[in-house]
Amino acid sequence: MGQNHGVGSRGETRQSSFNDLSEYCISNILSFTSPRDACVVALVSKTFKSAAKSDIVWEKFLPPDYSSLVPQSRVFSSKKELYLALCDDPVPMEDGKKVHCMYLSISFLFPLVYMIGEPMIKLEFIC
Amino acid sequence: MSSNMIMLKSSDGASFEIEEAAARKSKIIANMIEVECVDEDKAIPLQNVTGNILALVIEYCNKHIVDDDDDVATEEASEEEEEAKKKKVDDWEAEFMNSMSLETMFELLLAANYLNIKSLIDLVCQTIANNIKDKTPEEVRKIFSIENDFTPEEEEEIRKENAWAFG
Repeated sequence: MGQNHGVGSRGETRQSSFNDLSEYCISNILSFTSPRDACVVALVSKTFKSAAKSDIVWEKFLPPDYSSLVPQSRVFSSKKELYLALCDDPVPMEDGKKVHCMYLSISFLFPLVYMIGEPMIKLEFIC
Repeated sequence: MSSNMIMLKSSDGASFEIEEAAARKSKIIANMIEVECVDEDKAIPLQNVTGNILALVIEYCNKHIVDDDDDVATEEASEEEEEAKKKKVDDWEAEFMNSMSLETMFELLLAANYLNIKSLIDLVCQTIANNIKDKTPEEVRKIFSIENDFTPEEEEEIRKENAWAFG
């Protein structure tokens, strides 16, 4: 509160622009795009670059149960790094029972499917 | 259902009557109701929202309070009925968002953030995001009138960092 919320002294006379949005707002918007979009728009401006690497964005791209996919021994500095690591370096896990497919990414360039089937979870690319 | 009406006042002095249950979709307004934060006209003052935007927020809240009532009334609804209802809400939301300019969407997002209405924040973010999907950085800059503040060297660096996305 108390910030400039893009509202002029008379609401109708001043138009808001993207520049009125906080970095948090932009991250929130980018979380509704795709991993590929979030990387591409980092080139738009410095604010976008900063907003696009936020954990708010990448948390949404990860599967809801991602913490179970990552060995505890591995430490990541950000959710983006974690996401890309999961894509680059499939992690075999135990304890999978039912078959379950899910697109991690909507992007056609980087579709990643992880399957919980048989005794192991398999992460694989279909490029 | 009893209709307990309250008054909201925008930053530019416009007053709006709204059902309390609809207004409570905003966590900020719900808090203000609890602590009886009203001005001399018995209206809840909203410093950061102009009248034209508050009218949109109220339209959204009113629409969704009706839907919430429906949920109670049709607890036993079949799957098809549920789907039909969801489609009705989706259609309404699509039309609602379609009717406004990008500038208005930005203002509505700022208002929804300030008023803390999660479902409205998500709706506006999703709609703005649809304008970003599958676009190039140049296209995004053009759509949103954003200036490129990178040097060519910085641009090159970002392209390298995210090479897979530009492939």
